Amino acid sequence: MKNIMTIIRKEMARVFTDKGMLLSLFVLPPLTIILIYGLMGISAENETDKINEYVPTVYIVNSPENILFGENKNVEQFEKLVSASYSEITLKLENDILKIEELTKKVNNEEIDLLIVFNDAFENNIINKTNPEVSMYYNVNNTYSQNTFYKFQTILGAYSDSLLNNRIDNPNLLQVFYTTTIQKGDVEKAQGQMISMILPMLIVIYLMAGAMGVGMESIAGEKERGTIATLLVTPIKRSELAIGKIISISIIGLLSTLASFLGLVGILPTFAKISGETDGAGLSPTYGPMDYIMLLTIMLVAVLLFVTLIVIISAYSKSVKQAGSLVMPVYLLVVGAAMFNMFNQTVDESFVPYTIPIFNIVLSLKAVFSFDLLITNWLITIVTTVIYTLVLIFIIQKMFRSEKIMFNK
Amino acid sequence: MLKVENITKTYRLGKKQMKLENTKDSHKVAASNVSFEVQEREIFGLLGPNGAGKTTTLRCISTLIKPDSGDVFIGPDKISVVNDEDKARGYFSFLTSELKLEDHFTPNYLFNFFGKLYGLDDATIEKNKEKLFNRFGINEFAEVKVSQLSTGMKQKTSIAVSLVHNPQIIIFDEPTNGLDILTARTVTDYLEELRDEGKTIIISTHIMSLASKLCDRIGIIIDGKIRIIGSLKEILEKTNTNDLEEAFFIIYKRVKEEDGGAN
Repeated sequence: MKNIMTIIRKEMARVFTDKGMLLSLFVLPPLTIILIYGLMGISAENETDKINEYVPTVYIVNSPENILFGENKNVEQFEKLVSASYSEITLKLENDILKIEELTKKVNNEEIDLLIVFNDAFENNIINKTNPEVSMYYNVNNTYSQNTFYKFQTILGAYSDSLLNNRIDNPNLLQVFYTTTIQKGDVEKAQGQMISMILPMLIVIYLMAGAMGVGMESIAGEKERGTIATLLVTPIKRSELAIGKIISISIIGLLSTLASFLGLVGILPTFAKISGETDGAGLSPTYGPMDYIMLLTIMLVAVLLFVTLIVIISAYSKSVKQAGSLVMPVYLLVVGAAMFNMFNQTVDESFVPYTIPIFNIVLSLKAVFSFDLLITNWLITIVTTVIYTLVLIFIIQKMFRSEKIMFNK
Repeated sequence: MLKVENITKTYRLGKKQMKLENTKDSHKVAASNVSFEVQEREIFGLLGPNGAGKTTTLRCISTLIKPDSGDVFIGPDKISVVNDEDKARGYFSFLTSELKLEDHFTPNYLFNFFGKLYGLDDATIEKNKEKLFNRFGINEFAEVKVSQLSTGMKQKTSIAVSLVHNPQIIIFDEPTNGLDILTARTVTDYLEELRDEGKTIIISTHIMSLASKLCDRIGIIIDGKIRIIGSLKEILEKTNTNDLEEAFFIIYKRVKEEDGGAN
């Protein structure tokens, strides 16, 4: 135990006194998250601001004038309704239908955002109850044109409603029934489902990435530089060396994950904005102490499993470079398991999937976040992952004893 | 005291290595029934050309690799290196240019770290550190990272760190390899001091002058086998020569002739 602690202290000193490692493990990951999501948020905000501030150019051909339906019953000219809906708009009225072709070309060339063409005898058609036609031309390749079109759809809808209200005595007759929506079920669980889609993937990726850098450096790096052989001639047991390395890499991996998570928490409001939430409420279900215990234990065994996998690959490799290329398929496997679970909406209650290495970690994390993890399945995940880790530690000890592996420079 | 008994170590050659060594044999006997004894207050030199089996023998003694057969026994209790390797490691230090110190740490940190791995208490570590750092002039650089030290100072630090536990047996693979003349002299002088203190020392070398000057007894190893063992005087008498280099070539020629005859 004393030797294990000595190894852990040395590994910690190696990382915490190296500015480069501190930067790459604890500063850059959260900074990258803040930067990426922050830029995405700023970009989304800018785009919304731009659209809101944009002054569209709209041409209306044969814009309807006042339509009188009788005494005290009239609908104001369409132009006024448009002006009331926009604080700023470049509105052009045209009555020459021969110019329609020229105007549609301008829509195509993005000189005009929207062209609305009312029937020649629109007002009369309305009065005579012969349904006239309104055509709208917009450019599908232009965001401003599209947004102007969507807004005018609403304006035209409101205009249509006001015409209808004036045309018939009792507009309520047109409403066959009203609909009311009442949400049932566990709202918190529904909120948790959104988190359970994203967070398990991020957790396993961060755990793996955090352990990868320091794990490869600590084993393959030491082998490459010949410093591990210096340790192997001391009376320290190979098992103590292996366990010391695994524990220290795991602690550093967990701390690195924590740093990434702090970055994630910092960017949560922006993340909510990007995903369409206005206040981030959809991302804040309340988890109880048991949920946190399950989450932490799963993360703990997960990092141990990932670290032992990385240590095995690093011990087999001749250099950090080789370790990097050999670890990549395992990393992709982990990401693949996470992605598979991300889009899998149902949480399996059978115990079998909770025995599959790596997959069970993602599955359990997902189930914790969606309040679906059964105690038995949580225990199965923990126990099986610990068993897999112990088997791997046994292999690592054997590898540390193998001269072929430890001296295959 | 250290007793090497019939150590044999065979390596499996890869296709690349077979091509390099121009052989069709997929196995190479790196050490064959190597036996010798080294006493206290003695420097024993394993002399041989490159690929003769010197490093393999030293690696087997220092537990870095396991021999296919044979064993090494340490001290009057005859601690077996093969069966009790963790215990055996506490009795010796193994130095080779292949063993490096982590660049990121200072000599002071590394000395303390290895001292703890050898189970020493803080007071003993400090006492040994003072003695060794003074002897090798490391004090001035004790808090400088290894990466910033000169090659000579790195080697001195390596030696100091490997001797942290004041071992009874010192195994040194090519002790002056890659060192400048001043550092090499410091190292050989220190090995003589250690011998005078009563240590058991084994070195491997291909430098005849070093073996002649430093070693009390020499074992010439060629093609994995010890061909002759004795003091310089005994070897010169047995080969009827005046210097070690000449003696070595006579033995080498004889070995190659015998091998040719056998083939």
